Amino acid sequence: MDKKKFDEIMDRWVAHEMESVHEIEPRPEVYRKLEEKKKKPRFTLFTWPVRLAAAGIAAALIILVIVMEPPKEAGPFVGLRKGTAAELAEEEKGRDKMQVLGEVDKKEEGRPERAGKDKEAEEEDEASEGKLEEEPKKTLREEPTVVAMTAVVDKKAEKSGKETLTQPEESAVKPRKEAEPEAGKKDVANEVKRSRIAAAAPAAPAVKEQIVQERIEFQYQPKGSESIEGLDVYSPQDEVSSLLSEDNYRLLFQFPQERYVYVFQVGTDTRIVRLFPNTEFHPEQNPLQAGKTIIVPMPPNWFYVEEDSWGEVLIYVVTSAVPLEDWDEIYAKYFRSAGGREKEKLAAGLLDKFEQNRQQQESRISVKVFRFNIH
Amino acid sequence: MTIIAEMTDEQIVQLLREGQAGAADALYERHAKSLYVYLSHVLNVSNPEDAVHDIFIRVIEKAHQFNPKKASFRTWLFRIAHNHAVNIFRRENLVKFQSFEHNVGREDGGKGLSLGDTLADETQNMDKSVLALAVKECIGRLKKDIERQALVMYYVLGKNYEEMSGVFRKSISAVRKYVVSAGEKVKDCLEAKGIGALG
Repeated sequence: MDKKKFDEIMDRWVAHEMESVHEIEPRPEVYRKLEEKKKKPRFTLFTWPVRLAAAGIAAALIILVIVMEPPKEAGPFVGLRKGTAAELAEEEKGRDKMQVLGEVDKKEEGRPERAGKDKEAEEEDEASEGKLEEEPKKTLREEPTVVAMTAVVDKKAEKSGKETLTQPEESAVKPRKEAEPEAGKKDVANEVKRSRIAAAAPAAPAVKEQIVQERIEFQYQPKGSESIEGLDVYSPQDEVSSLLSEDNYRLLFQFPQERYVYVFQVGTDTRIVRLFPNTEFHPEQNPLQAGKTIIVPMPPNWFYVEEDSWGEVLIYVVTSAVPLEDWDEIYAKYFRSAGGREKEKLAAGLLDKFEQNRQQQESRISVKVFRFNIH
Repeated sequence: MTIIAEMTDEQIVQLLREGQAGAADALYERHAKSLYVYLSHVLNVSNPEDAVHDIFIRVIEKAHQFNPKKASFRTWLFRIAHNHAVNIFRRENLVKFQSFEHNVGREDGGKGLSLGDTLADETQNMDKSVLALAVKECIGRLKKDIERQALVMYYVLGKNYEEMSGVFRKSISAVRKYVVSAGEKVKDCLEAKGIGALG
C-alpha cells in the first residue's frame, strides 16, 4: 500500500467518523460558566468584605500551621519513611525497594513481587510509623560568598580543558564514602559511559584522586540495557534528551567544598518533587561533605519513567554554601498544600526562584537545570 | 452588524470573553465534532463527549489568555485537548521509584488482531463502517500515546503539520516523525487485514 492509498483510506475513515458523531451542543454548565464570566466584573460592597475576611482567615490559619509545626524534612508527598539518616542507611541495606512518588495506593498496586525480607522490612516500617524520632536540627553555617563562587571558576577551567583546579582550602579531601552497591551487585557507577562529557573530565569515580571537581551528572539507562549513559549538566544541551517509557535515570553529584544541595524535579504536569535531600531516596542530609559522591536514588535503585507518560521534565540542582531555609519553607508549604490554586501559586513561586537564580550569574546560589523529554 | 456565523474563531473568542452564549454555540458547532473524533481515539473513556465539554469549559475559563498572534484558535483548542489527554494518561504519577532488577526482562505481549480473519476475504466489498472499525483497531494497537495522538490529529486537522507543531510544542520534523512512524504501523496492520488491496 503506497502513501497515497493510505491517505485515502485514512481520509475516508475521518469522514466516516465525523459523520457518525451526533450533534454536540453546549451543556447547561457551559452557559453557567458564561454567566459567571458576565458577572465577574461586578464588585459589590458585599463581596469584598467577605473575600477579605476569607483571605484573613486563610492567612491566619497558614501562620498558625507554620508556628505550630515548623517545616521538617519530608519525603515527597505520601508514603513517607521518616527516620534518622543512620536508621535509613541500615534499612537500605538488603532492601530491594520500589516506591511510587506521590501516591500510596498506587504504590501498593504497581509493586512487583519482592523477596520476603523486603516485605518484612516494609512491615517494620509500617509498624514503626508514628514513633520515629525527628531528625536533629542542622546548625547553620555561614560561609563567605566567595566560597560558593570557587566552584564556578573551577568549572570554567575544567571546560577549557586545563587541569588547573584550585585545591579547596580544606585540602585534606576526605576519602569518599560513596553510596555503596550491595554485595554481589555491580557497581554501575564505575561503568558510566559519558557520551557527551568533555574529555578532560575524570573517567568514572577515580581512585585516590586528589583534586575533586564539581560534578553534576544525569545518568540514564535504556530499558533492558546494561549500559549507562551520562550527561554532564554543564555541557550545553544541543537538543533535549529523550527518554522512553521505562528507561531508568538517576543523578550523581559531588562538590569540592561543603555544599547545601537541593534537587527538584518538575514533572510534565508541573508537579514538583524534591529528590534531594529526601530520605525516601537517599539517607544523606545537607550539608554535603566536600568530595563526597552522591547518587540519587541510592544504588541499586533507579528512578524510572512510567509507562504511557510523556512530556518535558526539568531537574533543577540548586547549590549553596549556606542552608536555603526560605526554599525549604516554600517547599514545605507546597508539600503540605492539599492542592488547588494555593498549591499552584506555591509551585509557581518555586519555579520563579529557580529561574531567577539560574539567570543571576553572580548569585551566591547556583542553579543548574537539566531537561529531558519523555516519549 | 456581523453575525456570529460569519466571524472568525478569533473574533468569536472575543465574544466568549464577554460571556456571550452565542459564541459558545458557534464554537461548538465548528469544533465539537473534530474534538470528539480526536478524543475518542486517544482517550480510553466510555464517553468522550464529557471530555469535549470539559475542554470547552476550560476554553471559557482561559479565553482571556488566548492570544491570536501566537496561534490560531484551533491550535489553541487542540493544545488544551492535548493537555487534557496527557493529564488523564498521567494518572497522578509520572515517575516511579523502582529497583533496577524489576525493569529487566519485562515484556509486553501485545494483543492479537481480532478482525484479521473476518476481514481478509471481504476487502473488495468493504463498507465504510468495516473500514472504520479496522482503522480504529489498528490505531488502538499503537503502543505510544504520542504516535496515536499525532496520527489521529494529522487527519482530523487536515494534514497540517504546522498547526500540530503548535499543539504538541514540538518541531515540525519531530511531529512528522511521529506521524510517519505511526502511519507505517497502521499501514502494516491494515495490510495484515487485507485492506491494502482495497480498490
